[in-house]
Amino acid sequence: MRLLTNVNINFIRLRRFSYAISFTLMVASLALVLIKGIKFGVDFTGGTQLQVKFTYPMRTEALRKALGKIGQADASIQTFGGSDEFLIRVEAGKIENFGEQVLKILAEEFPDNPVVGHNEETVGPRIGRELRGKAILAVIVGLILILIYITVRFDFRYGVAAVFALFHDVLIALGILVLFGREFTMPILAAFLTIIGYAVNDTIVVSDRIREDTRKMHKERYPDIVNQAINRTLSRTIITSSVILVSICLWIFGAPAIQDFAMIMTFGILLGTYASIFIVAQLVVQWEEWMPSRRRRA
Amino acid sequence: MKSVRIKIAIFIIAIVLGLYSLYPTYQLYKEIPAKEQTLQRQLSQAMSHDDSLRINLELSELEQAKARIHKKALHLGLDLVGGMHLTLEVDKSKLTKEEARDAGDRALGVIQNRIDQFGVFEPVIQKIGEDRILIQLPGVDRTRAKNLIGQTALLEFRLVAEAKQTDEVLKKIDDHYRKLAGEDTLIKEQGKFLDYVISIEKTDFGVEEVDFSTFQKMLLAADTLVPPEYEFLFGPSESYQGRTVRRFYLVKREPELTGSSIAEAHASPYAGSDPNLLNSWIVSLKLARKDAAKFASVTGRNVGKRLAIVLDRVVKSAPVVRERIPNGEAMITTGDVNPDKARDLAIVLRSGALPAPVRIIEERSVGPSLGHDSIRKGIRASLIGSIIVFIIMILVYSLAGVVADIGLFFNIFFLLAILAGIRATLTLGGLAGIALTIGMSVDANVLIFERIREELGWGKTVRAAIENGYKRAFVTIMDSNLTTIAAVIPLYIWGSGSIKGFATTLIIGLITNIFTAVYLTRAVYDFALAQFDIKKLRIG
Repeated sequence: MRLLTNVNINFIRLRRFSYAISFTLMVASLALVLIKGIKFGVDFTGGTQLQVKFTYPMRTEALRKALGKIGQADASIQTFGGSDEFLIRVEAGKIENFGEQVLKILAEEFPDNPVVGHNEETVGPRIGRELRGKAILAVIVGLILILIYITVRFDFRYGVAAVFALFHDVLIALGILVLFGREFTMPILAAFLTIIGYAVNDTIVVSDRIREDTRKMHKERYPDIVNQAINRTLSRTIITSSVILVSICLWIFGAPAIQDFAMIMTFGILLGTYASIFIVAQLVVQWEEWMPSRRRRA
Repeated sequence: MKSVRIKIAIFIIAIVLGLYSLYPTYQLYKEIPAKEQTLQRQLSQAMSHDDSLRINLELSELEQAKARIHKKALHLGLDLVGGMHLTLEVDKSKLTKEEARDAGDRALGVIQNRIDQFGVFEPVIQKIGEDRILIQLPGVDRTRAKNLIGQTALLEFRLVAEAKQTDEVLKKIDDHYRKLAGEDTLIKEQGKFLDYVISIEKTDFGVEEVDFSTFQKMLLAADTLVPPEYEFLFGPSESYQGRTVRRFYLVKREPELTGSSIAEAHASPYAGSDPNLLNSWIVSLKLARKDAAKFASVTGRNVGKRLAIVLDRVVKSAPVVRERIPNGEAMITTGDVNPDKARDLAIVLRSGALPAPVRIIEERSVGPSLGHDSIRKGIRASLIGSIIVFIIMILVYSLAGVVADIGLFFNIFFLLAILAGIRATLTLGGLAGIALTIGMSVDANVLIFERIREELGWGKTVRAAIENGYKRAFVTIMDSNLTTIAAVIPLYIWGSGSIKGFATTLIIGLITNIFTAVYLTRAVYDFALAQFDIKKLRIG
């Protein structure tokens, strides 16, 4: 079976559309993030979070009423997965042995609907700050390493375009996270890093091809070389993105703990694939048109 | 042709090593549970005493084998099997500089000792930094474990004030509140201090559990009315005539003796005459020689008075000293018919007190059923996804797709073998790392095939097309895998828990990916080209 043999779509000319789409999505995401704000999980804020799974579906109001009996009616309650699983969260230091008390009251209040599984996470506020700091540090250093690697292997412009594309992917994925009202937790951070890894990979494959073709083709105009490289790697880009099926499967069939992760992965792979076809190389061409580099004149 | 044989030999060696590394894991999660089940079934059907004895022996042997194998197998993280993760901080604020110096190490030793005696399978106990201790306990009852680890276990013997004196102090505090209430109508409700106090067994003062926190606050606010060398301490909550109550005592601030050196402590059923303690468990303890002598003189001096046994500022009991106790023997009542509390307390007393209180600053616990649930669903979802990808590869590249799938399979195989080899722990984050590894592995194969197709399209021979395809794709594969590794290394360095697991599996997966996608699949082609006269390559 062959997909897309000898395609020749002028992706470079399409850039006005893709810029418009990306710009709109980025602005919308930024607006969402600024207006609704990112909901951080206990890993980053500190506090206690209890995940409980009931045998049968349960109503949020009934759960809140039960929590009220131990003076925790204002705890944040969120469904998780189905209507039989919940995340209950209180701020740090609000109550001692939160989990034990909640499980006790739930057993008393709902004898016909016993809790079949639970897990509890308590993170002191100081540890939360530390984890947040380290996560930010890891991401920034990771991005710098990518920039350095691409600058050494390719050229600074590709590095900048690639990092911009990563920023684009991550910002829009963040917008999606906020739109769906999900929390930013450690696994979500891992998903963002996976997206970054994936997007860099796509960008590098295209850049590799551009580098190779630039050496071979002296007569063609630079935008044409770039466009041809995108077209020639198009089939690979599409087939590789079939990996998205793994993350879609995890999203649909996975445990709630991994579903958010898989959701971000799915959108991330889509965005990364899109950006590597429609954005990254176009930015380099644009830059090249404004300020021709030595390579073009040679 | 020699080079092909060498390549194949290398792969066979690698596969054998991989199998060797993974065998204990297979034993641990498949073979042993199966054997255990059969034995358990046999045990339930055992006819004679000899039979059940023999089977029990085999079971205990199996248990030992399990412990041995466990050290070599791939471990599953707490988020997958259930258990608890704790980070403790030693509170040094009340220690002198001298004491604070090695407080962290001493606390670590004490906690290690306690957990060892508690008998947890494969615990992780580490000191991080100056005064933090990280503890990971797979599959334990968290309330019990937390209690065991968190107790300072400071045992003190303190003299209790005479009932008359206690009564006077309480009256004085009551007067104070009445006067306050007279001046300010707003706190009229709080005016009745003595109304909270109840009498328990005629000898002790107590307060109902519902009033406990109010009462405690009132006592604290009236601290100045308590004689300076005394303080009020409470007992544990207990049930008395159908109510939940706490006793309280006016005790000397200065302990007569601290139980820093306990020679023996063990749990035993109560054998005395108190009807309230019938059927309950106690901890009987024996002080080491020096303290025993001191204890003898303390009890000798105070015959007829009450001596409170205080553990971590909670009065466990306050018996009347009947005579001088020469051998340093004492007992702590738990009032519980379940032996767990007494056993855990005995462990804590034997291991000694912590040099300073510890605070739990991070706690994560996963119920075993949720862990199983997420691992089952995670594995099923990854399997479905992987199978779809395997099928797509065959659909797109036909026979070559099969070769790619072989490469993919071995990539995961080597990844798991290395993880088992370095005794890594597989967490949820690790599973995500494997998912991304599959993605990168597919990509490497696609890159190679697309190049080969291109070369074939330009009319090259099969051999030349494969040669060139691999050569040209190799640069790209290296670039993309190395950048991803570069992006992940900071996560390995600064990440914690799940994130670190993600980074570890991904880094190893990308390295095995280069190995399998570039060399293994190539060896398959070279072998095929050498064996058969291939004129046409079916690559979709």
